[in-house]
Amino acid sequence: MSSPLLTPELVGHLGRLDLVARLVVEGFLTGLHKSPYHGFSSEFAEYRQYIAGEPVAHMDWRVYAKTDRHYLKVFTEETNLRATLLVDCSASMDFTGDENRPTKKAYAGYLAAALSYLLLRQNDAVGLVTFDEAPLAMVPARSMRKQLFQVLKVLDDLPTGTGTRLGRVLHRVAERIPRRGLILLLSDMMDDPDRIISGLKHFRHMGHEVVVFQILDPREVDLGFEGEVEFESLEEPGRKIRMEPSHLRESYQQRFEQWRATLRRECRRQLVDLVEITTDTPFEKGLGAYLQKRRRMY
Amino acid sequence: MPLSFLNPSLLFGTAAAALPIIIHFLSRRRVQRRKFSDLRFLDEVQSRQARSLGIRRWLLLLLRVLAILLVALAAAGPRWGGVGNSSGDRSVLFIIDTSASMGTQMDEGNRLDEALSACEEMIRALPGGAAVQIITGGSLTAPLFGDWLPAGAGAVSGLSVVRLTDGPFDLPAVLREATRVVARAPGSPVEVVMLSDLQKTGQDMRLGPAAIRLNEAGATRFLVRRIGREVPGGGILSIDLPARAVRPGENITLRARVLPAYDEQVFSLELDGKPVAEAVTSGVGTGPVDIDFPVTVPAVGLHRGVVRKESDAFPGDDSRPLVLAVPEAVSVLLIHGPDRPVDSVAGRGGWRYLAQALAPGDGPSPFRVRAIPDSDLTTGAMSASDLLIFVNPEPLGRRGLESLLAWLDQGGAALFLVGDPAQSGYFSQTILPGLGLPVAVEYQSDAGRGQHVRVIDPQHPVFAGLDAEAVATFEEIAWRRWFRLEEGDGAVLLALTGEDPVLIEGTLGEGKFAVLPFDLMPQGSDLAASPMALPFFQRLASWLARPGRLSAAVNTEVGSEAMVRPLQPESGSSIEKTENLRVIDTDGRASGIATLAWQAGVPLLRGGTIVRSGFVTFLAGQDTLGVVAAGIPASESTLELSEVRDWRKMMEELDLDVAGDLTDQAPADFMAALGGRDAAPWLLGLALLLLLLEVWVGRGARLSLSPGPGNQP
Repeated sequence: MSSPLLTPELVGHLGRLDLVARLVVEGFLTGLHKSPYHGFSSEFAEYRQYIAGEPVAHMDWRVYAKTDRHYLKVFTEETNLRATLLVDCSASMDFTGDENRPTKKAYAGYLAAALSYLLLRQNDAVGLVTFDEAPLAMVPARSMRKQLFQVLKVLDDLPTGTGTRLGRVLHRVAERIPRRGLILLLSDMMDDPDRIISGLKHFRHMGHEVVVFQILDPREVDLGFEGEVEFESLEEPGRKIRMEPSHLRESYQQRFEQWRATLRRECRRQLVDLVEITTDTPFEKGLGAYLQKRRRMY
Repeated sequence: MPLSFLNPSLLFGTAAAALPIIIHFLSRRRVQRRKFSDLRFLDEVQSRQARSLGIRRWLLLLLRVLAILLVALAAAGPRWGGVGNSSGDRSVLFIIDTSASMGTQMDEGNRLDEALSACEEMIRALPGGAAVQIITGGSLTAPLFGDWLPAGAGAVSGLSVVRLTDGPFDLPAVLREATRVVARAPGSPVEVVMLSDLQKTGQDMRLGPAAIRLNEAGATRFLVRRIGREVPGGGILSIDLPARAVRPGENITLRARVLPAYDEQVFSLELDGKPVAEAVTSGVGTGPVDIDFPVTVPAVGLHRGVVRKESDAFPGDDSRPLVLAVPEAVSVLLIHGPDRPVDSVAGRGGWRYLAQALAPGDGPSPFRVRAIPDSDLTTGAMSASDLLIFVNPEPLGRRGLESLLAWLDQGGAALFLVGDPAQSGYFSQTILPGLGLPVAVEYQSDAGRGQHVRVIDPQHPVFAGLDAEAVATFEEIAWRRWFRLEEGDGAVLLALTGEDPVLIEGTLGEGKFAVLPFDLMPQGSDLAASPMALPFFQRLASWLARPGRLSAAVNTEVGSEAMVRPLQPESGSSIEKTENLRVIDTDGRASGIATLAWQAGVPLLRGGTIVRSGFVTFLAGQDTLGVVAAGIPASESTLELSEVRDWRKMMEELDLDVAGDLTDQAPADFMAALGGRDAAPWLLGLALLLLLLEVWVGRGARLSLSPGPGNQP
């Protein structure tokens, strides 16, 4: 399912976000030939001739019986899904533990672009909200072709934000998305779990389906630094801690996992899909998680 | 110095202990600065563990430093508990006490046996590179080897020739020998191991200078091992022979000073191999007592004797030899001034009266008198005499006087009678200063009834034994002319009514003299006409002519030189033929040829230092020329031993470094006592323990070094 040519490290060098989005999605869909996913629309549109090697699931056996020819049924695309991407631009998203890996924000941008491309390819409506302590930019959901360029234009120039107040932001965004739809939150979730869950509850209360892509850097997870390190907070410039990570690694990992477990538990309780990915994870994982959710919804 | 090192030069390795410190501070400078997304979790865990981590970091540093330090110390050959030099070029000087007291019996053998056994084990315990020298200190104090020997079998074999002596442990002599030995020692400081019973001795003024010279010769460090313990016992400390010439058949008393070991202890006297007398002590624990042996003087000659007692743990003083000389006659040389026409038949100053008194001529006399004018006095005549008597002599001349005083100093005896007023100048300006007496002389004359004399000490040997009537007769003699003298350092034996002394005795070196400030002329006193003149002069001459150091019979102590004035050979042998002069030592062996020397015209035979108690006999052909009886020094009979701390204090007062006491150490553990026990295994073990502790304390750091999820590429 993964595309070896499109690792996060590689797409970082591609530059153009539209190209990234197209390559990621096309590569992903090509790989879907062997997957159980085979189309998303439900309304019949037309027939087309079967080409050897294609799946026979959508073969119209009635036509074959009458004409002795193989035709596949092609379904028309539905456009009733309104998906809104919420991309966290807070300062903590600018972190990367390795110069060869994209920052969390860049990774979120690539993933958001790929998701937008995929959604629009299916004629779903896509919207975008970027935020740090407060909403920064908002692109209302549309299903037009040119919507992709609107979204990519914002994603291509994600601002460097300040601190994270995710709970409050979610509440404010929820108020501004009145129609039910799919909320795709891309964030490191660096805030108090209670406040985050409170915001997510708001979306659920409004009837939204929510998928949370928690994007973390591997170094944040394992604290894999050696020697004496002076850490400076990205969200609170000037605040520093000097330590030997090797001495604290075990305790840190325990505490970090405890925090993530809380998030998992609360998300599950609120029927929110939590997708934990790190910036060295291929984008297909994010896209696959979205497709699973889409399939459950329709 | 509890911790010392075999290879101190390797201690530079301890500088490696600075490496962890340097690395620590260098690594502190390489602090990575990183931006991090959110510090909340770091903040939480650091605030919880920061303190323990800080402590752990410094603890780790300390453990690493200590571990490296211990390994470096272990490499330098650490020795723990050593009191001596622990370096490889060790020089060890053993001083073995071979004095008489070391012959005290112990459970197995005597003290010397134990000292030699301990010394052998110590030498064997020394490393191959060590150098050894041994000094034995007893009657003779000398190094055992010509030079320092490497420790080993050769040095051990040298111990087989060490023998017990009957002499005292002469610490000043030992220090002098040690000075010579230390100056040639291959290593410094020299460890001086003293193996002795530390018998108590008195103060010795020679110790201070000897210690100074030893300190100047090189650095020394003394270690002492006391051998043996105090044991009860007694002994014969000394024997007093008559302080005058004795005659055959005379009843005399030999007095012995003994230390009884128990009440009513029997002491016996043998003379010429036959028991002569016994004496029994009474009481014990009161210190030395005197016991008397009544003896009838045997025939003319030299008689060997011994005082014995029952043997005890210390056999050295169980018997003590003596030699009694019974001269055929005391040889008296009477020197008088030349007779003048005015002198009477009695001669100048009445010298003929005196010669007649000493040798009456109508019977046997203990004196053989030869009278010569002072102009005929020669050194040879002087040396052949037992006693010189001067009666109003003319000035002897400078060389004559020097010879006389030298002869006196060597143990001669002289009596001076000067009563001629014309002699006052010579008497006061030459004779008296030469004898060490005050020069104040004043001629006194009592023309009336004269003054009578008084015996100051009736128990003095000159007067002892005289009955009261004889003394009264003597005291009735009137003196009318005399020189008033002052006794100075001499002793007054007779004084006139007016307290002027008329008989003064004194000593000069080994010699003895008496001065009578009058002569025997009737104008001076009635002495010549008194019946007491003969016994007085005979007693006085007999007492002066005592057997002394210059006798053919000498009673002395071990450690002194065997030296006698030889008798004239009877069988025609000549003492001039030195090849005929033989010495039989105390063990009865012919130990060599005696050395003939002349001192102040007196022939002396020398036989070397006496090492063992017994008799040294000088022979010329078959003739016995002299006998020396040597007993152990009285100090060796003192069975009290010094405590090590007292001995140490004494040595430290001499500025000698006493590093340790080996008394309670097994000799085989000598190296451990000297250089300390090998501490390297302990230090290495401790270093290993510290490293394990370091691993345990820093286990977090160790685990972080292994590849984990966060370190995967």
